[in-house]
Amino acid sequence: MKKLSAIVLALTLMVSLLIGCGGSPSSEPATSGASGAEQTGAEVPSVVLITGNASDKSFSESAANGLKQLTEQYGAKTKVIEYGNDDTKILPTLEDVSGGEWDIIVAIGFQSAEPMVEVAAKFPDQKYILLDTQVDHENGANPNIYSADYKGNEGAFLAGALAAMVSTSEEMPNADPASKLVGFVGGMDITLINDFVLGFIQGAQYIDPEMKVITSYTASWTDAAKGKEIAKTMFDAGCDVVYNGAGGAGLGALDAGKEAQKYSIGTDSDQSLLYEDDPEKANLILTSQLKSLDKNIVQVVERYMNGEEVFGTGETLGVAEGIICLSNNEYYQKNVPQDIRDRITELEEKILSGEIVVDTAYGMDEAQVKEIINNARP
Amino acid sequence: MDIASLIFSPTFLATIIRMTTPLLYASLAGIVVAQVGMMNLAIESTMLTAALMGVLFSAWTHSAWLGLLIAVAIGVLMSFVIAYAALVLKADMFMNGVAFNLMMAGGTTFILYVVTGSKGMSSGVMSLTLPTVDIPLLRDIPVLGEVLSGHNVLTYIAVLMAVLMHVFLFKTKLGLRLRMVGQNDSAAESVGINSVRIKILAMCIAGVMAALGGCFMSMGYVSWFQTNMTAGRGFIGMASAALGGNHPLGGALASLLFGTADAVANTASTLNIPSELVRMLPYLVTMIGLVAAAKSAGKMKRKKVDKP
Repeated sequence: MKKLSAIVLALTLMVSLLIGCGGSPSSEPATSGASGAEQTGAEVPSVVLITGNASDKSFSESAANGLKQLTEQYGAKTKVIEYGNDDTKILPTLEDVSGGEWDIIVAIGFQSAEPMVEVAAKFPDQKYILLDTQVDHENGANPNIYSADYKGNEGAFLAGALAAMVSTSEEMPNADPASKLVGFVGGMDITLINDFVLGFIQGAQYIDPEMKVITSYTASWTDAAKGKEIAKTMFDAGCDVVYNGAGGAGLGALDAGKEAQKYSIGTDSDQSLLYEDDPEKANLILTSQLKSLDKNIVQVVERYMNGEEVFGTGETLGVAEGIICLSNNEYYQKNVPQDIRDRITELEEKILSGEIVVDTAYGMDEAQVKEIINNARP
Repeated sequence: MDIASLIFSPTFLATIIRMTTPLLYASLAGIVVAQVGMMNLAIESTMLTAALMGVLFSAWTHSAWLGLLIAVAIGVLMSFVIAYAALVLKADMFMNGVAFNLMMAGGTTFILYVVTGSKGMSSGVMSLTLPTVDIPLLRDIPVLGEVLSGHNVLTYIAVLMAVLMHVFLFKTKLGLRLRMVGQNDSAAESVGINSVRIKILAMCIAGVMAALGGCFMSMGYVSWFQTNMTAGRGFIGMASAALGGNHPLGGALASLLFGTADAVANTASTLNIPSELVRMLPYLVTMIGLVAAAKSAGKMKRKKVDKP
């Protein structure tokens, strides 16, 4: 089996070398998708993704999905390269793939920003996409990089609104409509997380100004036991819904939800789908806030194919662009009543139209952030 | 909602017991090794490895108890390797411990990835958890029942282990020999005790304790394995062993103190108190405790010197 795949690989390499020597510009795989793209009048770029672990059930996986969609829709040549847990490998990996073999190189996360800027300066003709963090684009800086970050606070706003509606709903069997209390388990007391907290509080109080939010931090991204204890304390204090933004430690909060028979909301990956073999737990996870990196990648590549000058620009994307959303999975549809779901869609539209502007912790004074969080406590 | 009503509630006291359990196992693992005059730095990695093995083997054997048994066996094996390398092959004990901690931090993730394809958590594995125990009669007593009944079986085993450890160290012949080796191993050798064998035995017992603590994390506290899920509890356990004067009952009390500090930190973090302050509470208690223990130990030594 190994031998066979090695032979196939070697043959593919030889064929691609031969074609490469021919210098023919139309050397892209001649699938039906590619011909479809030709009708739009642009060449389909080849795209490579550099990431630590593409099967993280979270945002790297979403980016890898974007590449898959490019192949399915346009027949683009794509590849995912994993560099493992060692962030120092980002720079050499970027250097390896730069310089002609690939049209566009994608990397994700703030840890990729510095290496990418350094490598991009060395290969001015190479195009780069950087997701989940922005680099400097002022005065023509980084002309060959497109970068985007996301408004997590807008997704948290929707999560907060959902939590408040569920907490006060008469229809939800495991919520006490009289208690107007929900909780947030954060990973660390940092701006990235507090941006979520502010959105969550604003969303909850948008639905009902009397809504109270308990915020607490695990101070660890991996200590699931601590996440569970903190969430337990919140459920004991009367919270009906606990939202977690604490990575692996947050999974403990979901477990506490199952024990207390109360509701949870997840972040970054579709957390109810993690527990499909534990329906009792999955049914108590209302939904998860998602970052659709796949959509972002496909959109940018489409704009590039349409001849737009996307490289050298940066943007912040949120609900309006359809990049940040609550997961509309089967558990959400099954367990959340229709009128609440309709209300969430309505709020999405209000954020989209600019009627609702969600607070952000970025650029806000630290003391002010603390004040908002403390004022929301019961 | 104020801190007093949160802290003086039965659920809070039950939280303390839950948070103390892994620390108690870790401190027992520290104590038995300290009694033979060594220091076991690898408690943390033994716990982490056992946590993973318990999850994997409980899924494969479809039995939580069999999973626990195999995890304990692997914990013993790990400790044996460290002891053998240190005592027979004369490798440095500290370096060995540090090496194992570093190796298994990555090694558990590697094994998890090879087996499940995930590098974060074992969600794809149908692992089992150990049962909780409702103690008849006790559970019907109003407050006490809520605090003491309904814990995971490993919590009760931890208490049992602390008592057994005390009996073993201070009431049995083997325990006496073990302490003798710790006091002066040449003297012990001179009366025909094989000190290397005794030290290896102590390490193996420590392996059992640490492995039980690790399994409590992944098969009791929560129901999955997660990268670095022990989060330094092995080291806190070592501190409570030292604070408890390397005595099982002292270690149990010290673990209870740290467990309480942890529980207070958790509860306080949901209140209007700066999170930085709350986060350092358990470590602050650890430091104060260690200084206090060192002070009192110093006094006792001075008294002994002063006497003649």
